[in-house]
Amino acid sequence: MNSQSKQLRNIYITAVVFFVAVIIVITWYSLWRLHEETAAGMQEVSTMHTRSFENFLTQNFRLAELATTNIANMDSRKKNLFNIERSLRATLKNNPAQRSISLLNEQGRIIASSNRANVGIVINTNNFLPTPTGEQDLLSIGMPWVGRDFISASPTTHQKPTRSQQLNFVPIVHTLAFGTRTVTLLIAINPDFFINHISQVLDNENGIVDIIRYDGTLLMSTEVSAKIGSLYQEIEQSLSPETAESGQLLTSLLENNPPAFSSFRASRLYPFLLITRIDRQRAMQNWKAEAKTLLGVIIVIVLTLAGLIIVFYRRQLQIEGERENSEQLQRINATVFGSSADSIIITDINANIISVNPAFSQITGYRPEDVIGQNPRVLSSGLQDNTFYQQMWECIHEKGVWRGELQNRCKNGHLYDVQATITAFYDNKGHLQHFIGVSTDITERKKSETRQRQASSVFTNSQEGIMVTDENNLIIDVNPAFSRITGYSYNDVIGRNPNLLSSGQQSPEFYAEMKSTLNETGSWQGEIWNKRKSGEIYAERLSIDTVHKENGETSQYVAVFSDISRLKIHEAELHRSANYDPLTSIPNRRLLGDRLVQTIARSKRSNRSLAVCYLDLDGFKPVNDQYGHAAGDLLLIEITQRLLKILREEDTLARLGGDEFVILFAEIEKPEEIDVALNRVLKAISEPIKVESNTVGISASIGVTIFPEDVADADTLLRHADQAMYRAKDAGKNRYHLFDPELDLEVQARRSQLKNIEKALKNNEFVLYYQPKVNLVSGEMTGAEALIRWQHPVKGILPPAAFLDLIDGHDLEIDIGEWVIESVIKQIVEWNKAGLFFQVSANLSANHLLKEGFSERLKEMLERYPAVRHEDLELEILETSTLNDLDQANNVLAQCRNMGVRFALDDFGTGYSSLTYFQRLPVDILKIDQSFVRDMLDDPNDLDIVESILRLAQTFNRPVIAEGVETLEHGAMLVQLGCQQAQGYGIARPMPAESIPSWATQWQETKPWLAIRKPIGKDTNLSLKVAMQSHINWLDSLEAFMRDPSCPHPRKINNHGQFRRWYRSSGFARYGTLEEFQNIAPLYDATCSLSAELIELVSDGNHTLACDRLAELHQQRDMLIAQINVLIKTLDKQ
Amino acid sequence: MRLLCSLLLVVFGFSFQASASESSDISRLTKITAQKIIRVCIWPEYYSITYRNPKTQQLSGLDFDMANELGKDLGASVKFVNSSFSKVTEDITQDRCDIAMFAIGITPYRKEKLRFSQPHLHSDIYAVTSKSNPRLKNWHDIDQPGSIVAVRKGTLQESFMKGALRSAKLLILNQPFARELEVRSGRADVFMTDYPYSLRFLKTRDWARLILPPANYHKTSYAYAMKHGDDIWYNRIESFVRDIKQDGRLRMSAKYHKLSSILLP
Repeated sequence: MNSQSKQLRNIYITAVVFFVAVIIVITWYSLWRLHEETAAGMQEVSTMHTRSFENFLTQNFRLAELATTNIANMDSRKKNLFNIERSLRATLKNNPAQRSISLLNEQGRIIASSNRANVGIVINTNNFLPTPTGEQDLLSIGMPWVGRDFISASPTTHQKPTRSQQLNFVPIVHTLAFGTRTVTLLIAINPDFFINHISQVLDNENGIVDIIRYDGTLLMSTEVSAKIGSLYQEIEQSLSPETAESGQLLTSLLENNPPAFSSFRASRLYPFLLITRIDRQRAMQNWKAEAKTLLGVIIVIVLTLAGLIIVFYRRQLQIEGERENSEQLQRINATVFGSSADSIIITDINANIISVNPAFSQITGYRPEDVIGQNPRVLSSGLQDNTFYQQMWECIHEKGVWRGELQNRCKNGHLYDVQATITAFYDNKGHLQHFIGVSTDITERKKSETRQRQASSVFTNSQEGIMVTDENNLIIDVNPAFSRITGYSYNDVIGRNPNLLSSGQQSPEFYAEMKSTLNETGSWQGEIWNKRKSGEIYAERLSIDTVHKENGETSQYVAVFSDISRLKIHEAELHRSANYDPLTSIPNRRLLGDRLVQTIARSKRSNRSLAVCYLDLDGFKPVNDQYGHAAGDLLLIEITQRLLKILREEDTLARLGGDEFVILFAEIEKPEEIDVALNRVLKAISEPIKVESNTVGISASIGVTIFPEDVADADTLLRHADQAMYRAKDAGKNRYHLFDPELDLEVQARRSQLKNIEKALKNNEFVLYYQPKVNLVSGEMTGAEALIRWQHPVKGILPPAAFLDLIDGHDLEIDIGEWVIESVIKQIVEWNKAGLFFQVSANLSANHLLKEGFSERLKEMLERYPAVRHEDLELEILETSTLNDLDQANNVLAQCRNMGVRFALDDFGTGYSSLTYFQRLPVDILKIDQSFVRDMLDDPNDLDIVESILRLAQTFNRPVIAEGVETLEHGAMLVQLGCQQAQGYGIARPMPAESIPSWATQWQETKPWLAIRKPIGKDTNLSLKVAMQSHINWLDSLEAFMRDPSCPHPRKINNHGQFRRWYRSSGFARYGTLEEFQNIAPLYDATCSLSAELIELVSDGNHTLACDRLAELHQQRDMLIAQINVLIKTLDKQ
Repeated sequence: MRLLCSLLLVVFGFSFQASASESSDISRLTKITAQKIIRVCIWPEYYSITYRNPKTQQLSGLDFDMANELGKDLGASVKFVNSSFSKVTEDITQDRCDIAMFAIGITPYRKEKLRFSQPHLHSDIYAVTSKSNPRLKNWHDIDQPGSIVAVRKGTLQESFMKGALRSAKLLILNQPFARELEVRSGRADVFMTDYPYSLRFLKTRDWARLILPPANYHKTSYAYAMKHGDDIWYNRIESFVRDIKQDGRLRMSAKYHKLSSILLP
């Protein structure tokens, strides 16, 4: 019990105690008051009775007194006794309180009575009270008498009382004085009358009424056992009738009697008093009963209330406990609400959001403040129609909950799928209070389901068999295609090892390797022979992948395979037809090539020799001609059979076609073995052969070459064997001839050249010449290109063309390339020392560039010469070089450029891939090929190319340099075209390195570039002018030829047809839409036909006739030129 | 016209009567029918039977009702004639009334003097004393020395008690309500009466107390009394008594006056 509960308990105990105490006090007070009131009431009743009874008694006594007064009057009037008696009886008639009335004489004797029997009786009135004196009217009460009337009764005394139940009466005398005479009347008072009257009002049991004479004599009593006539001794003393006419009697005074509410009252006229005693016990009976009832009720109420309080207390405890539980639950709920991965939305009854949890914000992107007070339809994607939402709300209102999936939209507009549950929340009274929406983002699940469905669909519908095994390699699933291919049903294979498919065709090593590959790489692909349920062996292409658990352990293997048996058969057929001779079924030339390559490789490894034997049948053609092709074929088959019989397994027999065969002898340990084998071959062939019942004799000529004595590739070996075969034929057939490599001149020549080049490299016979590069506008020398020369000891300086082709693809190419680069770097150092700073470029072959480790070696080289600025080194790559691997080239270029080395793309425009290289290779400068530059002054087509390249470079902001600038005219044209960098004979020829400084000095001194006219504006119609000039030049050549036929024939001159070509291609592209351009064509055509005619005339020897028409030619020419000028003018205007 | 009818009826009635008993006098019935008055003797102090309330002077009781019924049956108005048990014989014989209808106990003495119809009630004798009289508890206490028993003169109780009492003294009273006064004043201990009287008396006197006799102490049948002779009248009365017994008039009235227990069949 915690302190709160203890406090609560204390409060309750205090409350209960206080409450009970209050109840007790109130009850006690109430009962006390009730008691007091009852007692007071009873006392009042007692007093009231007393007064009432006293009154009744006194009145009756008074009646008696009045009656007797009348009679006394009669007596005084001396009526006779008879009349008096009648009167007495008449008096009694209506007065039951009086039993009898009698008239006494002066002696006290009854002389007349209502009851005649009384007459004569003497009544002693001495003990009457008050004592009759006879002097005045007086009513005196005597002692009670026992009996009915005086005649039959006797008076009681205090000592001898009678019981109340005995018949008795109280005598009273009324004494009246009439002058000196007194009349005394005696009345027997009937106590029964009074007792009856009193008993009617006050039951005997409830109270007792005593009537007492003043002297204390008990006259009457309602108490049955009362002693009438006895003395009320106890009261007599305390009673003071003289002083107290009425009052209460203290109960203590009536010790013999039960406690009572007593009161007394004295008669106002007569000497008696009346005491009423109401039995206290009985009087309080009601109070007791009420008290008991009240107590009973109070106790019940107290117990009930106490019970209720205890119940209430327990309930409070329970509520307290429940509240704590509820609070804890609320905290848990809040935690759940906060940490739930599901989005929770709580709305009010109008579906306005009043709370969302953090997951909601994470999923939707809406912050709580964005959506509080909003309707959740802010999330609506609009993909569900109104019917959907209507049904949803109907469902919520009917069942109190809706579950389903829908698509919502995030704040950023993305859609997401949710599985939502919307619950209506009711309070205890069943009133709808909230809606609670809990939604799980199932977008991933949906995607995953879709993927799964797809996967499942793929699994089921795949044409490829799929088998899934567990980590213990037991099959756990297969697809229908699996069953279709293998013949095993699902139930056949589940739980089994896939080795039930094993055909036994693969070795255990194969499987071991497969397993290790799987373990290392997680997958395996390959082809494998397996066995169907039917036992049939089939080939499959199998791909196995490992599926890993999250912890990396293998969980499953998925094997996908396709039946490739048919493919295999096709492949085999293809292989056969591709590799085998259809007639003899032995390998054909193709397969022979493969075998030869393999055998060479094997031979290299084993250091054993191999022999290639080229075999040609002698005398096969006559057989074919004589017996027909069929017979020839049979003969070939027979020969083949014979040869196969004598050859070893490792040897190869191939038919190249016709009657030519090749035999490969592999793994030859001794040369003698070949001799033996070949003799056997010759013998086998020369055996007579039966062809269609004819026996023919045939022989073979065999050329043999042996590897590695003949170090050559497969093709060369075959060629050598072929050569040797011809030697054998020449030597008389039916023999073999061994090829002698030493005698092979071609090979020898190349080998010696390479050796010379290698030697030259060693002997430092190669030198580098440098050709300067200059800026034609500023005249500055911007660089120099290193060009290799061979300073041959005998042949003098050799140009690169004399040796570079030989080393193409040879290792020497790399060696020389590296020598060049290193030499250039050294030269840069030298020139730098001399105060010359410019870029020096070296040519780089594609092979060299792509050679592994190029950039690293270049780096090492540069590091050896730290003084050299890397950007001073420029490497020129030939655009024509086949850069097979552009990506690799790109990587190397990037690495080198990172070092600072520059790259130039050489001979740009000559290759097919110029644009590709231009785009993809990160080069620093383009070099326009010299062929375009050299002829651009004469050939408008070349000029157009140069112009195009320059425009391209301009567009892509790449610097350009032009090679082949042979004259300053070329330079002027280049400047005109916008190219300032140039290199060529027109500037300087390549020169030894040591000449460069002096040349540079001289260049600067003479300033030849100043002769180049600077372009005023850009002439866009250069090619048109060149084209025109070219045509004029040609016509000049034609004229010269006409005058002197020994001059070069016009049709063989370079610029022949140049105009036509330009006009139809780039000229048309540029000006084709202009009328002036179009008008040129007929004039040109006319010129051409006239030229053709004149050439014909000259060729036929009529050159005089031709010269006569010169004027015609000139006219034509001028018209053409005029038209071209019209075009030029038009263009200029534009 | 009405006079003529009456005359005719008298003439026919007379002739019928003459033919029925030629020798006798005209039946009382004829007279009554003709005069349309019937005189009925009653004792006006007889509680529950024929009691005249002194405050209103209204008569009530079983036989008052029956007398009225008889009047109706006979088509005559009823004239009640005050009588008492001591006077009834005389009243009947002196023809002061045509019939006495106040539950007259059939005693041998009376039978000699009167002709009774078949009885319709019966009652025992009951004693009434004062509540405050402790000396009388039960019936046996009555006939003790010193006891005084009051009876009404002429009543059947008087005649019976005269013979029945051994020790007690019989006080015969002839004054109205004298019995009560004697008992109340203590001059007598008890007075004797019957069931109908005591029933009503106890209800109105709070001081009185009833003492029940032993079972079937002295049961007496009560009937209506007529003069001897005149069979027609007698038969008519007999027929009337049968009628009231059968048609429920008697029973209804007895029930009203709480006398069902003493009805005779």
